[in-house]
Amino acid sequence: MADMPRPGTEREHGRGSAPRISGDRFVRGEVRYLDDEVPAGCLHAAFVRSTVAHAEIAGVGTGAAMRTPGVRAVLTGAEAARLIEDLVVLPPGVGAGAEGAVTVPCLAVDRVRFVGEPLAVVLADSERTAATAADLVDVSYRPLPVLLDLDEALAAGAVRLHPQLPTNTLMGGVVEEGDAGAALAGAPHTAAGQVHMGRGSAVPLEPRGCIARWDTSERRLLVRAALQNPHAFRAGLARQLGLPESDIQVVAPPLGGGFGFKFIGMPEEPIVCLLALRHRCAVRWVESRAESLLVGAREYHADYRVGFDHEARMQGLEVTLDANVGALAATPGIGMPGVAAASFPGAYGITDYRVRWQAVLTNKGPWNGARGYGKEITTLVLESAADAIAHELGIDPAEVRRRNLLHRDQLPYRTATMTLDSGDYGRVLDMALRLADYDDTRRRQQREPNPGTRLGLGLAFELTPEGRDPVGGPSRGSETATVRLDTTGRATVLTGVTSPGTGSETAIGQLVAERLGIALEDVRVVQGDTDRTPYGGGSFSSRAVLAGGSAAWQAADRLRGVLVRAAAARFGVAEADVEIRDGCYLAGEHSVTVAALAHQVRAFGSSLAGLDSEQLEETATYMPGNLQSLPDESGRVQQYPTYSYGVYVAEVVVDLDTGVVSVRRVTAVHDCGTVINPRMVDAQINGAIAMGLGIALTEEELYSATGEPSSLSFKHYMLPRLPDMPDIRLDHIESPSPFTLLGTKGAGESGVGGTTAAVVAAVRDAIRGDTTHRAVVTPLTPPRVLDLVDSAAGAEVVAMAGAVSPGRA
Amino acid sequence: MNDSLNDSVNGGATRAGEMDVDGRTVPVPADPTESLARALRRAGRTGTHIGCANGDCGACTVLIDGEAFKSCIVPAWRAEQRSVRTIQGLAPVDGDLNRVQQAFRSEDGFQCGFCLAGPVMCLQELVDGDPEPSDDAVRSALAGNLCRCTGYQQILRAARAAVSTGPRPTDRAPAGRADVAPG
Repeated sequence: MADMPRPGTEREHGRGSAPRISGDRFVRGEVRYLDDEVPAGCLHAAFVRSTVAHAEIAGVGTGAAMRTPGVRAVLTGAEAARLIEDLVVLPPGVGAGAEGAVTVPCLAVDRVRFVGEPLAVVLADSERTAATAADLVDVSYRPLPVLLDLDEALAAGAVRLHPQLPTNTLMGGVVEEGDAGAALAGAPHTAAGQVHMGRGSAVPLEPRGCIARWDTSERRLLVRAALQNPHAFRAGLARQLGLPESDIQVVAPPLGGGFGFKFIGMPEEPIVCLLALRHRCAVRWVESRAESLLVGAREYHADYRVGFDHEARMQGLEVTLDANVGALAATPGIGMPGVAAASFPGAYGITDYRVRWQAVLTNKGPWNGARGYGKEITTLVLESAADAIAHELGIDPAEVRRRNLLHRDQLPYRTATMTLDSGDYGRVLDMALRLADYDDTRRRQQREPNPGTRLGLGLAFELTPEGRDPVGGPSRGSETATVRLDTTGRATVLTGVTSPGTGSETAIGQLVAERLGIALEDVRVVQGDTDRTPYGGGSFSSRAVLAGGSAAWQAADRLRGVLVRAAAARFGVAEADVEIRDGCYLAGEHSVTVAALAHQVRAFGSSLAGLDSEQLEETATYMPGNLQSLPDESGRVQQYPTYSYGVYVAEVVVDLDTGVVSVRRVTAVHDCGTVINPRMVDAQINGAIAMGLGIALTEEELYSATGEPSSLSFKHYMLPRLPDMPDIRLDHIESPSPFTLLGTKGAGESGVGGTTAAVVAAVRDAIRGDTTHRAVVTPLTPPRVLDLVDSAAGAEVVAMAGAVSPGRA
Repeated sequence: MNDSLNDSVNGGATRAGEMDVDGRTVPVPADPTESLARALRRAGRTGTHIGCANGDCGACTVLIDGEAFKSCIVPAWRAEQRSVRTIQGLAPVDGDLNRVQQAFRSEDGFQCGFCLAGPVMCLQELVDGDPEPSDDAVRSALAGNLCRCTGYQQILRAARAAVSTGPRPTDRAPAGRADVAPG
């Protein structure tokens, strides 16, 4: 099936748990993030934000703000609209019923649609003055009806939130294959259920920020921004400001976490750049924690109905997936519901399914991306359905998975939207059950010493499509890398992928070091600078190593060819006789260092026999296989090239009196194809497990009835802390992708949905009784757990009343 | 962490209106509302990060006279005539990493690194008081810090490595002080 030439076994040499490049600078506190730069004499921007959820703007009084000493300028939405183009949310033809592109202004002009929406900006000498003056901007509002829930936004006669859209549905569609209706009608059993995933956000510890200045000598706009996609940001900014792209440099400094939260498309960065351009000065803005928690992700409501036979084999699936995406935003975050829909039916090999999805606008804050990118709701729905089947037939949940997961001989397996590449789902399931002591834990459940607590066991299979090719957008799924060698024997990698703090640059460095035969310490990886690196997508969809690493490997491989030819010429031997070992190129008794070879190529080059016009620099572009980027003759599109997967088992203890859930252990067995740096892959899974725990149990952005957000600090938006973490057991298998150069698949998102689903299943398992008639809701906060406990107890009483012989009291 | 700053001054070399930051004398800002975190960052100690400005995340953790504080909720004036140690003061600029830093380095006890001052400084406080703390003490020392990347697993591994490693020469406050202007 391979559609790419496979490299030889030497790639093995680039693998291993090398510690982080630049780790020394991190632990010394010397890495400089965006907030660590304060240009001399810079001015500070503060945004005036709406205090109401939905209103017409009746007036914006800037007099008091302008009179504040130290204030240089106040820019309202109406003024900004004349100076900067709108952000483009959707190109023509994508928005549901929209005529032309769907756009949103950077600063609200005549109407605000969520609390916190920026509608003006103050520029001042100090951060404090800017913030104080922003509070003095007097905005008068004419209130409009506030739509917070899906039902309100979708109700007939609901006020239209956006004039470019005929309804409050931003996008929608159907993903289907076969005949779900007929399959369900013919199935011996069906089970139905609801799944609600609460509104959360990715929440990196470092918020966003932007520093822009006009360089008068170069006549260029120089921008530093804590963003995951600097090249794409520059392209959008050039359009918005009417500048040539080449007149703008964007640098993304080291990020204090990304997770999709720092995807481009939010309005603040372009406004900071506009101010710098207009005022010919440096302008700085760093987002506050409260501002960052205005942004949301992943609020879903799903209904499912699954058909199955007496043997628990799934025979048809219907899903309705509605996403409350909040207010309009030009971020890739709004793409998540569509990806969620396209990720059905996971790895379950259901041939008849139909998923109807829509993204609905409301008066909550806008979405940006969040690790999982929609696939976490898919996992939660599918695994809830599998558990419902187990409950209905009275068989173990693990057995339901075993009977339905695709067999390894069926791979590659094609669905309407995916081609599952490689792996052994059943084996990973068995490994996870063993590693989790699943059977033993089931036995332990039977003898519970404490009547006030219950042990619960849940499991989930998670499929994670990775490495997306968002064709038609600002960048593709491909990546370009340049590798340069210098006469000190050091290599510099210039790559279009960025690291949001994952350490992927280390794996890229490892691949290049191995190819050139030099030490990892001798490789410098340059990222995030539009002047220095090739155009690339930055970081999204776990493609830093998959796409960026493969491109760097290819460029290094070509450079290796140059060095081999140079060595062969130097030694007077055939190229095939040249070996590479310990930083030297060897042949028989001959040996030469990489530095000396580099000097030879640079100094003599083509004047030596065997060499042409080679230089010490090579560039390669790599696109993974297994894509159908544009519709084929049957209209089929496949945007993901790789399909990592894993099985997650959670063991929890539920306190029946307080509703508090303690997660004792999470076990994960994971397969992301070829692993370059095992320790960093483990680190990704560990972090994803923590995020999954947060989704399952604690993280939620809540709103008052009138639309005021009430989770604007870490005292209200509850991230997992160390004492919340369970014992984690991890294992891997490696099933290389037949479609990618190095066999790698994406490794950055696996574990979010799997952990969420396993923990939710474990809580419901602990509560026992019949909770299948109750919606699966996250996060499972203590009140919600108690509600489930009461519901299960009620169901038990009803069941007992109907029974002939009384059960236990 | 505790709140003992109203106790007697430790008698350091700084005078009224000054504080000692990693061995350098730094003026205390005139603004009584300025947080220690911001003052330190203005004095070039940018390894002390601000992740919430609300005392929740711990990315701004420093040692004040040896005790860990979240410096975003400590007014700078409360560090007057006290010794403030930041993550950038744990090892000489061109010298070896100290024991805690080395453990976080070799165990990759971080990913994005933004929160790193939290676990590193809390652990430093712990090992300064007890070179061989129990595992419960290690976990307890780290409970106040948020990390969004590691699921705390690599942090815990690094912390355990740090407490099982013998003391190194640079474990205590760096020798040598110089009265220099903040920069």
